[in-house]
Formats: sequence, structure tokens, C-alpha cells
Amino acid sequence: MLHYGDACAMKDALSRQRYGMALVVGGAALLLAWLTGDALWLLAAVTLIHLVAGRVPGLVAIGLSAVALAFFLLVSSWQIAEEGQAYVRLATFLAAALLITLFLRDRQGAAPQHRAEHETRLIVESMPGLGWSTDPKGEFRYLNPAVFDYTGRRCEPGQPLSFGGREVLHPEEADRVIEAWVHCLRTGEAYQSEHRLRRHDGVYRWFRAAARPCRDSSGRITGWYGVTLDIDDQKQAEERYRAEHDARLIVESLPSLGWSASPKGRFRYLNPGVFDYLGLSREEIVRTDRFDWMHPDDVERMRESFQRCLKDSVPYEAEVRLRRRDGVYRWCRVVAQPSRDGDGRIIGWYGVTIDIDDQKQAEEALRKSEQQLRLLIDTIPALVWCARPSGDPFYLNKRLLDYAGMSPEEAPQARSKLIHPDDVPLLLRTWAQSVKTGQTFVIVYRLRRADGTYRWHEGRAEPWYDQAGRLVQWYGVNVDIDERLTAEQALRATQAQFQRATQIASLAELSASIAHEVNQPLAAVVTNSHACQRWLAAEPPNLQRARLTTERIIRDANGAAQVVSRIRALFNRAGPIRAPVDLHEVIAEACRLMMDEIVSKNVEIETVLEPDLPAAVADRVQIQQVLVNLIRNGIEAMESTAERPRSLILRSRRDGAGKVLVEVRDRGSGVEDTERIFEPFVTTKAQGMGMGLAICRSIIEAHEGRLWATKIDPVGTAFLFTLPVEPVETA
Amino acid sequence: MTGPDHIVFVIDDDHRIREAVSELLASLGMNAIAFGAAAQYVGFERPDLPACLVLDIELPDINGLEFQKQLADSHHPPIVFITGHGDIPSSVRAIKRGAVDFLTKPFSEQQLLDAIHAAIDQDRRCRGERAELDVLRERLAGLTPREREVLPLVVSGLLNKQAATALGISEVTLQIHRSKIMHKMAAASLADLVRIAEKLEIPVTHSRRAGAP
Repeated sequence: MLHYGDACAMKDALSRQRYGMALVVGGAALLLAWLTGDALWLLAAVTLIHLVAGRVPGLVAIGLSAVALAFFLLVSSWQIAEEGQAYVRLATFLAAALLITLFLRDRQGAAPQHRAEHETRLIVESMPGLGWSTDPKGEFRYLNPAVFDYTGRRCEPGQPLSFGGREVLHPEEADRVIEAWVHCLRTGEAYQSEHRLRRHDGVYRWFRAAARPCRDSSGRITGWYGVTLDIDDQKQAEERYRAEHDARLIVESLPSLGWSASPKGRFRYLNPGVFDYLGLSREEIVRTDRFDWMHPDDVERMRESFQRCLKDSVPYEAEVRLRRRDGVYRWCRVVAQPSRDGDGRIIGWYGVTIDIDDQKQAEEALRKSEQQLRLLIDTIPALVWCARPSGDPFYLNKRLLDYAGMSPEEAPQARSKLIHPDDVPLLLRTWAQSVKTGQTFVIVYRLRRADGTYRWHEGRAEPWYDQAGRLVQWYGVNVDIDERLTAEQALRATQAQFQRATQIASLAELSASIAHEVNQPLAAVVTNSHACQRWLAAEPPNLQRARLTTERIIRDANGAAQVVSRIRALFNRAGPIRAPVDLHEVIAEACRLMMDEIVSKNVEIETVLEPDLPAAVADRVQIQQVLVNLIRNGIEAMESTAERPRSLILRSRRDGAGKVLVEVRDRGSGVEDTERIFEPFVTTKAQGMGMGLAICRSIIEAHEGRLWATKIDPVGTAFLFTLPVEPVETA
Repeated sequence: MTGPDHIVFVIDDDHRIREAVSELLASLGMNAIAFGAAAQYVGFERPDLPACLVLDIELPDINGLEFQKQLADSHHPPIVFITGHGDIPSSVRAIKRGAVDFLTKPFSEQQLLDAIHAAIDQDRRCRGERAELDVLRERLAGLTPREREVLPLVVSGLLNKQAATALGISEVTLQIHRSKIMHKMAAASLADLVRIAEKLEIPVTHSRRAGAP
């Protein structure tokens, strides 16, 4: 009956008292039927028996009573009461017999069957699991008390039985479980599933559910019977085991040295990495002093830190050189953590030792290279700096700081103070331009040294772009070019002086040789004159000798005259070397030669040069001499003018008549007669021979050009000269 | 005139100057010989007369100053330089080396004559001194070796006794030597002898005071 009655067990148990009552009432009704012979009582008895005995005997009883009733009705209609009563009694007898048979049979089978059912019920209700059954559709028919205990639900009469449905399932598995159950219901396969169910207190525990269908003789499923067992503890144990297993695997396969030690520091566990690294067996490691494998230089330090760590019971961390199996000492980092029990006492140490030698070496190499670089940057004979894309400097090398005599903190603010006030606008302009456009920054400016002197520097900066093309920062370098610049200036000055000196020297030589040439005959003339005087004064006068000396006087005087004319002829004949000359170059050279005077006399030179000026045919040196002369005249003319700016304009252009024209215009006091100044020995200067302009004019005229002067309104004088240009060659 | 009592040498590469100077000197009745180059002058057999050398600085074969330096070793007439363009360093150098004057052409008659006369006078004086010294040298050469040993001791002012001791001879012998020396050297007195010894540069080797060198 196990496979059948479980679902109705509850109902049966509830109607058990009714069952007994029915038997008593049914029996009483039968007795009355027997005594009265009334069929109605029989009918009542049969109904009662039906209620008690169930369907099959009930049908029999109904059949019997129907027959009895039929007879009774028949007989009563036939007015045969006696016979009718007899039939009723017979039927009653038969029914009673049946009832007794049933009762006996029920008694006979019910005793062991009831015990078995009771046992089964006990098993089902007290088993350590959730028992249940459903109809073929899956509607619960029975749930054992453990289900209610676990879920905390109650069996409400009139409500369908339920586990709690989806609600009790863990959300992660609900779909899977329901799907599996529906699948089994459809196919009839045995149901099996592991899932979590929610306990009444909200805790989910793991369960394994298994159910099988029950089929009738025709193979149709009559219901499902299942049990759901709590496997949570087992599951957790498995979980723990797996975790421990994993941990062990991790520790053992760790590519470093894992170990544990007693509170005193004795090794308890060593992972294979330790043996492999040190090349020692477990026994050897335990036997020997741990400091034996350390680098001798580290032992003292390690011993100390080790003792301190044991004493203070704090996490341990150290770097030490360990001797590897091949005898090489390598840097390792040792990290250990104490493990404590509930009372806070240390129950062991767990540590790991990692080979960091490669990393250490890389770090060392990096540090060295960085140091090298820093040293390089700090010792390089240049001032190095870096600036943000915005242009603010954020790094200055040591040399720069030393040069400026300031600390790294005050440097960025003090930058503007370092630059010579005259150079600040130019620098700011150039730098702003570079920052805006990202172009290379180049400037020559003066930087103040710690002692307060300004020195010329050449500053350069290049931007650095990242891969995305963004300007990351500026790298700049300043080189002290003060000495070079000073040397260059000195050289230029020397050159100019030398040039002038050679000019003076050649002039002196020339004058000396002219003087000699002229003096010789003059000396002879003078001496002969004296002799002649003597001869004439003698008593008597020696006329013959006097005549001789006079002849000599005439001869030598003529000789002197010839010398002079020869010199003049020499000057006239010595035609200049004619070659195409770029006048702009000559102007630039002349300005360079006069630079010292231009600067010292505070004169501003302005050049207005016509582009593509044709080359002049001239002797470059002579034209240069003319220009130098005119520039010098201009400068000297402005020497006394303090109220006006001293400016000298050099202009070049075509004169419109196939010649080129050069103009030197000063803002000096001006000249009275613009023609007389070209005459020899005419000068407006306190010191001067008055030959300069005369020579200039003769040079220009020798070039088939013209040199003249004009007054400028309101002040100043312009000297202009023209020179022929190179004739255009026709092939 | 009983022959020239002096001579003026003129060295100048310019013949006009040579002619003019010679003519001027001739008009003054002076005796002049002119040369175009220094080498000609060196090769010339100079007469034994007080002389003067009028020397141009710029000579074709040698610079006048250099030539002066070469002449410095021998007895040569005083030099009067003449130059076309004299500079201060050259003139200083010339005067330092004993030139009488340094004239820049064209020079005046008076300048030249003054210089020439001064030079000739200087030469004449030098020549006289040289002649006197020659006589004294000749006399010195006439002394015997012993007398030449005695002379320095005597002119040093030693007493006869001291001198005799120094030479390891008797005082009498020394006195004989001394009187012979006085005679041979034609000295009128001891003071005269000392003066002569000074001219001849005989060193004073002894001192009368004992112990001193």
C-alpha cells in the first residue's frame, strides 16, 4: 500500500474515528433491518458499509440492497409481506455476512499492513531529508514534516501543498532546477538535482534532490516520489578541501621560496622551491644555520633584524643576498607574517622569499644610468633647463643654479631677475612665439651671474612631442658665449685698428720715400748754394767754381721738380683695378670697419639699399676707402650735436643715367661751401690735413664717377657719388 | 799753406750730395775726399792726418749705423751723420756710439761746418794722446824684466825696504833698479812716474800698510 496510500494517509487518519463509528452504526442498522425486516434499514446499513468498506464491497452491498429493495417493493405491491420480510431478512443476512467477512478480512490484513504503513510513515516522516510526492503533473500530494520544519511554512487546509515554489530556490539556480524538473515530468526520466534551498531563517543550504516516477501496470505514471537531502555540510567540506588543496598547490608551485616557521623561527614547512633554489635537502636546511646561506656582509644585519622581528612579533620584511645552488649570491626579498590564535599568541610564521636579483640589478643599472645622466647634466659646461608646454620652467640643472647663485625653490620665480633688463622684451617675445608655435627657440642674451655680472649666453630650446604629437615639454640649454663674443669683438676691433694702422703706416712710408726723393736734391741745392756763395765771396771771387756750383744748383733743383712730377705721374698713372663690385657688400664692410667709432660715438646707422642694384665697376678697396672716409666725416660732423639723434643714412640707388649712386647723409652741423671742401688742404676740422675729400674725389673721378656734396634742410650734409655699372655683355 | 793739416771723408750714395759737400768744403779751403760706398772708404789708404767722416745713413752696401759699429774697434775719425729722414731712435743710437752730430738733409752750412770742425778737433786731440802714449810704451819696453817687476811696487807707494822684502832683494839693489827706472821712463819725480804708470795702466798691486793686499 505504500505506493498508493501515502497521498491519502492524512485523510485516512482523520476519518479513522468515523470509520469505527460507521461500522457500529452500519451494524446497528443491519440489526434493526433484521429485526424489523424493513428494507429501509437495510438500505441505510448498506450505505454505511459502502462508506466504510470502499468501492468494491460497496457495489456488492448496493447490488444486494437493490435486489432486496426490488423484492420488497415487488412483494409489498403483491401484498406478500411475509415473503417480503423473509427476503429482506435474507438480504440482511447476506449483507451482514458480507460485512463480517469484510471486517474480518480487514482485521486480518490490516494489522500487519497497518504496522508496515506506520513504519513507512515513521521512516518518511523522521528521515533526515525532505520527503515528498506529487501527482503525474507535479502537484504535491505529500510533504513530510521536515519540509515544513525547514521552510517554515504551514500546511493550510484547502490550500494546495507546496514547497514554496521558486521562492525557496536560490535565484542563481531557480531556472535550472525548474527546467530540469519540468523536463523529467515530461519525459519520465529520473529526476536528480543539486541546489540550494532557503531555510526559514533565510539561509540557503545545499540539497541534493532525487525523484523517480511510479507507474501503474499499464505503464502510466501515477505519481512522483522524491527525497531532498541536505548536503550543505558535505558541500562545505568539499569546498574547504578544494581550497586547501588549491592553497597547497599554489604554495608548492610558487616560483619562489614559501615557508612556514614556528613562533621561535624554526622551519616547519618548506616548499619545493626552497630545496630547488638552495640545492639543499630538507634535513640539511633544518640542520644548518640559516645565516650560512646568506652573504657574509648581510649576516650581521639579518641576524639583528631577525631577532628584533621575533621579539616584536611584527611582520617581517628584509632584503638579503642568498647563496643559490650554483654558489652565486643573489638578492632576495623576505616577507613574513605572523599567524595568531584567538588569544593573539603567535602560532607560526608564514613567509615567502622572492629572488629580486634581476630586478635589483635592473634597478641598480637604472639608478646608475640615472645618476650618470644627472651627473652629465649637472657637469656639462652648459646651463640646462626644462619647461612645461605652457613655458614655465620646472627644472634647472645644478650648474645653472650655481651660476645664478640660487636654490632650486627660488629659481622659477627669480627667472626674470636673471635676464638683463635690455634683453627681457626680446626674450619674452621670442619665447612666447616659440611656445605658441612649437618652433625651436634660439636667442642670444645676457644672464646675470651670482656675482652680479651679466654674461652673454646663447639659449636654445627644443620641444619634445609625444607619440600623439602633443608637446610634452621643452628642453633648453644655455651656453656661455661671453668670452667668445668678447674675443670676437676684440678681434674685430683689432682688425679695424690694424687696417687703419696699415693705412697709416703705408702713408708714412710713402711720405718718407717722397721726402727722401725730394730732400736729396734739395739738400744738394742748399749746400751748393752755400759753396757758390763762398766762391763768390772769396778774394778774388772764384767765378769758375761759382758757375759750376750754380749749374749744379739748377740741375738739382730741376731734379727735385722732376721727382715731384714723377710722383704725380705715379699717382695719375696707377689706374685702379676695375672689377664688378657689389656696392652693398662694400657698404657693409665699411660699416664693419667703422663699427667701433659708430658704437663709441653712439651713432645710429640706417641703410636704405635698393634691391638688385647692378654691380659697379670699381676698385673695391678704393671705394671702401672713400666710404670709410665719408662715414668718418659724417660721424665727426655730428660729434658736437648733442641735441639731435646722431643718425647716418647710407643709401644706394640707380641714378637714372646708367650709373649707381651712393649717398652718405649725416645730421651734422653742415658745411658752408659744398665745393671748396673738396679742395686740398681745406678742412673744417681742428685736426686734419684736409686731404680726405680731395683724395676721395680724385678716386671717384678716376673711376669716371662724380663725388659732390649737398646741404640738407634743415640740418646735415649729404655726400653723393656715382660709379659706372658693368656694361651688359652682348654675346 | 804747407799742405793740409786735416782731411774730411764723405760717404754718400747720392753723387749730388757728394759733389755739393765736397764743393762747399773746397770753397772753405778744406780738404775732402768723397766715396760712393763704405767699401771704397775701407779700401782707401788714409793719410795720417786729423780727420772727420761725414756718413750718410742710407748707404747702398751697408747701413750707416751698422758701419759705425764695425769701425768702433779700430782707430777711426769721428763721425758726422747726415740723413734724408732721420728718426729719433737712429739718432740716439748714433750719438751713443760716439757720433759727433746727426744732421737731417737739407742741413745748413753752419751746422755742417760746426760738426766737422768739432770732429776734427776731437780727432786731433785723440791723435796727440795716442802719440804720447806710444812714447811711454816705447820707454816701458826699454825696461829689464826685473825693472818691470820693481815698477808696480814703487808706484804702489811701498817703502824701499818693503819692496826689497817683497822681491827678496837688498834695499840697495832695489834703489839701483828704481833710479834706473826713473831714468829710463824719463820721470822727473816719483809723482811723475806714478802718473806715467797710470797712463800705461800699470796696476797698483801692493799697499804700504802691512796686512792689506
